[in-house]
Amino acid sequence: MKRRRFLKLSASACAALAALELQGKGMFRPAVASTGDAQGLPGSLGAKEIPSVCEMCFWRCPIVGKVKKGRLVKIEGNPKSPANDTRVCARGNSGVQLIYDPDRLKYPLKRTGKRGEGKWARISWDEALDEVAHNMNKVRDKYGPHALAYFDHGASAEFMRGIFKALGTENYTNEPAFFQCVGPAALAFIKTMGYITSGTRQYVDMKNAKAILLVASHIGENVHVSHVSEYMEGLSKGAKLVVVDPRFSAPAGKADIYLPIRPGTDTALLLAWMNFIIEKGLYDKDFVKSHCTGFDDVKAAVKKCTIEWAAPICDLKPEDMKKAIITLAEARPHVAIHPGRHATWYGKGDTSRHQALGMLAALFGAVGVPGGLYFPTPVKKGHSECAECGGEPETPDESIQEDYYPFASMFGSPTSKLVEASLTGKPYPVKLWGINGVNILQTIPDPYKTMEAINKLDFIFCEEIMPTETAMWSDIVLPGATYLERYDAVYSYDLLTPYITVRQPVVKPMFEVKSSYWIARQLAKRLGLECFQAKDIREIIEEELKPAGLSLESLNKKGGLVPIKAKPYRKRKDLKFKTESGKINLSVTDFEDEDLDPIPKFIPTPAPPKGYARLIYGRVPVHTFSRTMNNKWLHNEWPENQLWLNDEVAGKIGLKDGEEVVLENQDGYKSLPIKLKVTPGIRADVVYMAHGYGSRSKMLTKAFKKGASDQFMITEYINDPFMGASSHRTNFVRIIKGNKVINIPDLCPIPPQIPRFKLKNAASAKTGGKK
Amino acid sequence: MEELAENAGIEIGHLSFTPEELQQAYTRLFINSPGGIPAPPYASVYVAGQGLLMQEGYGQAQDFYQRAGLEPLNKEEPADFLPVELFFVAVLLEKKAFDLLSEFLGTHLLKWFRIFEERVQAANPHPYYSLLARLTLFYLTKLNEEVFG
Repeated sequence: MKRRRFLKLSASACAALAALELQGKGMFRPAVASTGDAQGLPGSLGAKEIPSVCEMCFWRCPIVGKVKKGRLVKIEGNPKSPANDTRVCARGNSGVQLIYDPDRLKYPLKRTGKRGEGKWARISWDEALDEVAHNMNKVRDKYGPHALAYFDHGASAEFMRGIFKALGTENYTNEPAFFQCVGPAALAFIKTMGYITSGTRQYVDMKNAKAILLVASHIGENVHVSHVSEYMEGLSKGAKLVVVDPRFSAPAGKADIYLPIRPGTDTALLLAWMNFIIEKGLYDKDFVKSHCTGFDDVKAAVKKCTIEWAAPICDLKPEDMKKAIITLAEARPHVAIHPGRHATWYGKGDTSRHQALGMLAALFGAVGVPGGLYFPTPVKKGHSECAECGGEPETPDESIQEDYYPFASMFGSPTSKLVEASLTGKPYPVKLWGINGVNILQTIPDPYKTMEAINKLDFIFCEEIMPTETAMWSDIVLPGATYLERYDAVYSYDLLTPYITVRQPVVKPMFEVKSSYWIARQLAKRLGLECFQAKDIREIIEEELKPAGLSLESLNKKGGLVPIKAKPYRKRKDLKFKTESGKINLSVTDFEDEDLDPIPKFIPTPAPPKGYARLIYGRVPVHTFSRTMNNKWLHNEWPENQLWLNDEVAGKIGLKDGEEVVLENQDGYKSLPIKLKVTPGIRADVVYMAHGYGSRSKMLTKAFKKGASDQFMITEYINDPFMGASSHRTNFVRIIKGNKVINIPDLCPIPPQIPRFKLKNAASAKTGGKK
Repeated sequence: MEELAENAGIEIGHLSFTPEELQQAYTRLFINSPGGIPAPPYASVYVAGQGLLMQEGYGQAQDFYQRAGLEPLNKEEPADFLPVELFFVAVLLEKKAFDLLSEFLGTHLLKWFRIFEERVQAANPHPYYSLLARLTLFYLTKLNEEVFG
């Protein structure tokens, strides 16, 4: 073949081969003059800097994305930010590896195999959205609006929520953020203090505290940059630290007094402490008199709760308990009683436990003062109706919210009730799930039941970034843009160092991923809903910025962030709470009206059955939920979790540090293999693992089967009677090594007040019938 | 495709498929699949063995485009997406920019495409994609010999 002819042929061949993919007539254009990306400089030097907001976790630190030739090369904290300055955490840094992970979702996908199997075909956005809209209409017409349910979390979920609401379902929100996390704590503080002292944020001034109390909060193992820095600053200025935790956590290592409490008995400790300070006069009499209601009832209710009563329940030494409460009392009112965050532990007493924390803070007068609980600073921010979808949910004959749990509707539909309704059709059928921003199979207790429920659905779709378990179980997968590729909204921060900022794309969306607003708007159009009028989300942002005297342009000129003067404290005489009485409710009549305890009581949670230990869980500082385990950098830092096992227990059953074991829970379910960490830093009646590992999605090439999942061991749950959250620390495990089932020796005597958990089917558990 | 195969002297045999079949096969090979996709169609994944998008391979591709005074029109796909690089080859041929083409093939495209092609063939691909990968390798190799010589 002659050279010329071949070259010509090759040219058309290459064009033809390329065109098979992109139908590209012209794929190139003459280069526009360089935008001054400082060619040739190493690393992130000379990069274009774009301010935005992180979403590697929900704390949402202000960041700057450094971009060279359209490629994000580095993320740093926004130096204008008074909260985190140039700092970001390991996860914040690793956003770079989220957008460039080859495993990420890239195009709309349609399931072609069985649910959960992971067989997909790429389809167009039109086809994907048509299919979702068609099924939403079909299910709604056939079963009524409540057959639609939305599982939502985080910034990506907000717009689509409006669609479900507009379609009339009461199940337009059931955030695991509430029902698997902060719900009971949020409710307790709303009713006690009149505001969400603990929700997304915790308004607790550890920076200026003279003493800090952490009840199973393990700051530093969970990292929110400004929160951790303030805690460290407080400690460095000499704050005394009291840590209550069955496990010797990172903060336990910094504690002046560490109380290794028996799980499930925290409320007994708090009641005894309240009684102690009331009896010894170690509370703030003036504050209680002027700013609290219900003190006399509380005094009477806790009278019998002596330190000596609580000590055997909590498995603590009376002198340590006294020393701790005196340490806290001496610092009053500058004592930071951390309100806690993840609160769905044991089901029955969860709301009461956080109510007790709020009461303790109130008795110390530690509210609205430096070092105590404080108030959010109001931030002037507009609201755009274009961001909304209108429409009010209809009320079903029998609601799965208030007909079961009196305070559920403040948060939405309890997740566990939705799973049950999908399985049983009672009180009404639920036939379609939309999921956005949450990996439900690694979040909601009893994933086996969740999978069973999914198999009964007519349709399930998700908007996702990574091919998680949830994506694998979906019929249609809508690939969402990451936080680095989209506008979202105006973000304000109302803690000690307030500011206003905005999330904006630092790079263009890759592949065919779309922003949450675009997806919601397109879907609403297909459903015939008149909402999301703004063509471009920037119109919404401009409207939201206006009352602050800002525009996107002016905000960006100021570095993308404007600090605001903080107003966290109040003079005592100006104190007014947003409760009916204007005071702190030490006794909550709203609870009493619903036949719930107005004042916390100690409700024992069953102790482990013989041969088992309670499974507890927590976080590692480099990961968020089950969301970041496939991130290359973060995976490299902490690829798998370990099972913490008490050293004395390990000695008695002949297990060594580093050995690989499998767990079997009380219902016979087995875990993926996990390595042991044998340590004196955990009680003998509990074992611990970090949450989020043990992915079952084969699509996540780095995270798949790395470590074990606590979630897949949580099959027993109890609902919080106040708001319907489901408990996570009511499961028990024993160890399998090789083929041998090893019972955990009983080293912690149980007092008569605490019953043991009764195995449902001892025989099946013994033989380990299930996988 | 028949013509391309004939010119390359490659036997096509009997190829039959439905569009849905190809959709599924394409998704499994190149988009998302259990165990990870066998052959991500981006230079960045192969160059320096980084296994990530938008790394060195991406930078290399961008540099070549810049040297030719061009930039990709499609901003959604990374610049080192295989079809973009193939189209760039066609453009260079049309421009008769043989030296740059030789360098592009020898130091970049062919280097990673060989690994890519092996990974496609090892993944039990649909015959359509197996053939497509073979054809592409054939033409790129031939072309490299021609422009080099």
